Amino acid sequence: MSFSLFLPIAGNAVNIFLLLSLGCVVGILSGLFGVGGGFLMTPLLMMIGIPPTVAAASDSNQIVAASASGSYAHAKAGSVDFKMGVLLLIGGVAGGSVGVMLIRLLRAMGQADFFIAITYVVMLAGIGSYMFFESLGGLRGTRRDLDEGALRPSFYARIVRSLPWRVEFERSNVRLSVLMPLGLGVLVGALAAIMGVGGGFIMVPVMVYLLRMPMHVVVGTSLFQILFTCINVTVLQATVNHTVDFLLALILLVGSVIGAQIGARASRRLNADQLKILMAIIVLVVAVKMCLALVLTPDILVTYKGGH
Amino acid sequence: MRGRVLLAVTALVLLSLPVAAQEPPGGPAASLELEPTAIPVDVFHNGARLRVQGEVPVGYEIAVVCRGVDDTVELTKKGKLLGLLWMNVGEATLEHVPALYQVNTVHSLKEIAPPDVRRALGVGYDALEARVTSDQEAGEQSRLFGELIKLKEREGLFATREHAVQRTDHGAGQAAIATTFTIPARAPFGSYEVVLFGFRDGVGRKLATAQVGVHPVGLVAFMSSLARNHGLAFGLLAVGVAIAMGLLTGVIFGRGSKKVH
Repeated sequence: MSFSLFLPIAGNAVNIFLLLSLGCVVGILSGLFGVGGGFLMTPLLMMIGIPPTVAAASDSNQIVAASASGSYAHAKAGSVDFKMGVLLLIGGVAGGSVGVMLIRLLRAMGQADFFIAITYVVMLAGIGSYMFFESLGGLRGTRRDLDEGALRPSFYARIVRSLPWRVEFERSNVRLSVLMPLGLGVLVGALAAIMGVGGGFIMVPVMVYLLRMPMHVVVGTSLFQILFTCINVTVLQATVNHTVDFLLALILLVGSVIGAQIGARASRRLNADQLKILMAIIVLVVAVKMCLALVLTPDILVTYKGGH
Repeated sequence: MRGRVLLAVTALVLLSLPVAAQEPPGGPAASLELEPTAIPVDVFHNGARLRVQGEVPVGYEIAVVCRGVDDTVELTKKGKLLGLLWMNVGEATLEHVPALYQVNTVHSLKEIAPPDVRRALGVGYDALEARVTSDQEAGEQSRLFGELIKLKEREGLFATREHAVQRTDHGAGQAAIATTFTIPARAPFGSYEVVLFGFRDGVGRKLATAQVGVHPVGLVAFMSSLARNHGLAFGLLAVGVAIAMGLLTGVIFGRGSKKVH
């Protein structure tokens, strides 16, 4: 018995246990770090024979389940800042539109793929390295306290303090201008649209380092925001491109919702620096993989059009 | 009298038509049988083996071709940017590329017939290349076609298997042939044609043909149809089930968990 299932929209047969395992691993990452896992899952699905467009669309569908499961777990634990999440979401939607327009412009100039690849590598390597060394400092006890009062008022801090419409975000225990989450939402939304991913792995560091939110609230709030982003993407892909393979998503989500719960529980057992350093290592591994893909000669010098 | 002669001639012509359609024009008698004659695709489908058996006249070199309908393939080209980085450097559209193309032969393709004879009948990758058109210059098209062959072979859709047809002479100037094609799970739905070619004395001819259909059934047919014809409803259903599954798991796993803040 082969334990393979034929996926109607992907048009290929894949081992059911392989899909369940992939879903579970990505679900654990989702619950642990508050990322959707699209930057990991989509390439993995493509590697096992799923067409790129179907992989990206179906992955969005399963992220809906994982993020709903993770959001619920975090909300129940009181670690979702809904006010911050909604503002970031509004900014993200606007930023997504900006990113799509920018890509269209760059495609017309013939520079889109170069721009996307460089954005990926710079973002992943930059975020990963910063998180890694900062968390390492925290674990060794050599990092300066990041409390606002202890910081020398840097240029960034002066700008943050000078912005109007400051409100209290009780759950995150920060007082910020509403322009901050809105503006950063636009930035992350634009980057996510350019890179063709949900943006969780950019949003998490933005929340930690620029919005100064506590790590456990960051994870829950990021998942809350990803839930709505992926609902939008799934419905759009199903309507416009007919590329959502529900059977594929269903198998992945069975694995991922279980993984998300395991991840959410594990995240409460680890301290913030341990979480951040694990996240940094994963981001750096993906960055190295992307660098190698850019430098090493591919086996085949064409691919089917579509996907990220 | 004139009318009777005309009627008799017409009747003779009409009677002779079905007989003429059964015989290959000027060719030897040959037959072809497929097992199975249809490949249903349900959720447990994981590709299929298509067994081909037939009768051919002795003295012919044999090639059996299984091919899908022609399609348009859109490709992204990879190339080096700044002499260092491998990137997507453009797009290309290739037309008249079959969805599946597999050739099984008794001997090697070089042995069975000269290239121009095979090309005329569409046997071998070089014959396929001659039919492909694209939006690229000739040299670039040839390079892309070579890369496309690698891609399709990796997917199991294209193959050339020499010495993969067994031939057994059983007297009376006839021989039995048998071969097998592997139809991968990713072969698109549609009709596939199996053609038996015979080559002798530098001349090739089509000896017999048969068809096999690869069609969705059951849940696969239902979901394919729903996704294509009712995209919005399909998307909302997919999202609804995903949220329900996520929340249900959250509730099940959440029992007994404590609030951290």
